[in-house]
Amino acid sequence: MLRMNDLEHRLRRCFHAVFPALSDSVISTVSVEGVSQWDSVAHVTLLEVIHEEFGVLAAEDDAEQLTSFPAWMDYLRQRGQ
Amino acid sequence: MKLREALEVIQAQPAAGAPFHVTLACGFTPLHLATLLHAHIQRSRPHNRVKINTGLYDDLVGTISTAAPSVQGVIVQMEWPDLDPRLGLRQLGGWSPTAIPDIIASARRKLDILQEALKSAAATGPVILSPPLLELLPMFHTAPRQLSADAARLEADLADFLARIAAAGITVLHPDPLPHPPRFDVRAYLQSGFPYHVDFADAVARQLAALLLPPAPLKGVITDLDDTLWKGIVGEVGAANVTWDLASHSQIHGVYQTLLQSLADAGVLVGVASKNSLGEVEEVLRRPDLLVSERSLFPLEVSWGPKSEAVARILRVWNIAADSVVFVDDSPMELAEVSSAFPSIKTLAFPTGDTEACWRTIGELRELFGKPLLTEEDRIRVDSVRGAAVLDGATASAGGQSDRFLEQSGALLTIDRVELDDARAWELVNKTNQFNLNGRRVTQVEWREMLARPSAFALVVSYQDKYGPLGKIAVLAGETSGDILRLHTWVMSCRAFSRRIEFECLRYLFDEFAVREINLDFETTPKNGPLRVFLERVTDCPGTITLASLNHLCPPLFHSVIGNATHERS
Repeated sequence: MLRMNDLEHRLRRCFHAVFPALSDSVISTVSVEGVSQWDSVAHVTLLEVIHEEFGVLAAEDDAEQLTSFPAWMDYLRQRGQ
Repeated sequence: MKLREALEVIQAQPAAGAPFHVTLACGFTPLHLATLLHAHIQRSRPHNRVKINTGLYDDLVGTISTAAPSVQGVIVQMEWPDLDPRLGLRQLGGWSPTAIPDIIASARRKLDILQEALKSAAATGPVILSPPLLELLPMFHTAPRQLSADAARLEADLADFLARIAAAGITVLHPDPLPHPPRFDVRAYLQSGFPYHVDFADAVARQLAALLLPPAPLKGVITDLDDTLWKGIVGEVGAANVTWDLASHSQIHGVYQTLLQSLADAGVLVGVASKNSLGEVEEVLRRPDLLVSERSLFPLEVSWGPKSEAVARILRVWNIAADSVVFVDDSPMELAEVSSAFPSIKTLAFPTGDTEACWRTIGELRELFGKPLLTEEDRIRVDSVRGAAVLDGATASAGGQSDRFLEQSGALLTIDRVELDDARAWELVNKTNQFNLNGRRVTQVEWREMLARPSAFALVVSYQDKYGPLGKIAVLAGETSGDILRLHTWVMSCRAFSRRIEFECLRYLFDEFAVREINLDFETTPKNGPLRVFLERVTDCPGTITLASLNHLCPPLFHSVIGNATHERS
């Protein structure tokens, strides 16, 4: 099971790799509406980076809903149990 | 490389670095291939700001045709749907047997169009083509285990196209060395239009980057003899009984000999370092069944002394540095002894009796010495090194560079303008280390841009004397402004040292361009000591040579000079 701090730290690294302009203070609350760089290419890149990091490949239907940092936290927490 | 690592490499690129733009043309969404390619090129060009231009998806030919001439290369990643959309999964409707002939005809037409676009792009810079890396879809009536005639026809048309492209001088990626399954990511392809698993995309990107920015091939291989070039110890079993054939279970040594001959024919220097008696070795080398010619092995360092001393003597004769050389031996102790004396030398084991390991060594040698094309200089290299050794020996016995000796050598210098397609001139600039003004390497595009400048000149110098031709051995490039000449490129092959060619080159520049001063873009590198020593001898102040100082310090010159590089003076 993934520990909370470890999970968040690793997910932050993934988000930071895809959205390098985001500051640490906002990264844990970002969503697709607030990040202009979060387009379809960035979304697919984020899916793959998270897949590499956690070994979790989001199903197509799930992927459409994973449009914020908190949504990813919840999703990964569920997969970690 | 993982995708996150690639993104971090890209983010760390220097903001102020010179731009290095590459076009990636592919019919599918380039996504991770573009990212990984970017990262691999960025790693090879850490001081540049690399950018990958991708053009419009689904328009392979359009992206190739509209690539800016200033890009450093065009990389084309084909897949089957580029030849006909019905060969992909994102447009359906072509799996009926009645549709196949039309798909084949359509693919042929597309290959012809693609060929023209590739040739046109190759006229302005490097083009690298990767053929389809995914299998044809299960669209034919046969079970996958059976090759259908239609699939064979498509693949044959593709193979014919690739042969024409490669023959036209365009670099083609060979798919065989790439890792095999899994390649096709059907989920990602249907979801986002990207067809590869990311690990496979990384392997492709790595190879494409290496084709765009290939590492300089090594220059020489020094080989052991007993249990390496042949099986057996010649001093124990005699010259007639060392083997390299199937019947004696030693065929892998014959394969190694065949490779060495192939390398020698491609201009690689092949020397011998062996602990043996010279007479016995020469007896083996005269055997008619030997697969590498005795003439291709030079020099032969056969003695009972340490291998490192033999290697040192060979390096002196070749006049190249240890880091340009591979040493091959069956003995781990000999490899370690040589490696200890020459830490920068590459050592490879040829463990006789372990055929698999020997085979891997043979593959690694081909990798280290692979070159995209062969030049006339490659063909004559071994002979010219022999000639240089004769000259050096004669010079030494005459007590140095005696005027009388040089006068009698019948030296002829031919100086020509560098043509755009002169691969040897570009190669010299990019591989010469010791006599190199500043060690700067240039891409083909940078080289062409430099040659196109109105005030620029670029000269290539060829040399021959009574000991034989050396071919093209020096390149000088720069610009003139009034009576000042700025030399930003000056390289000379180490085979041409000790002939006063460097003095003749300077004299030619002063005479041909009617300048009073030459400014040199000299920078010290770890390896350009020979040029630095020469400049310290002839320059008044660092980086400047005047005609007066040259006249004062220049020794007598005896070359005949044919200058074919007459230019318009600015």
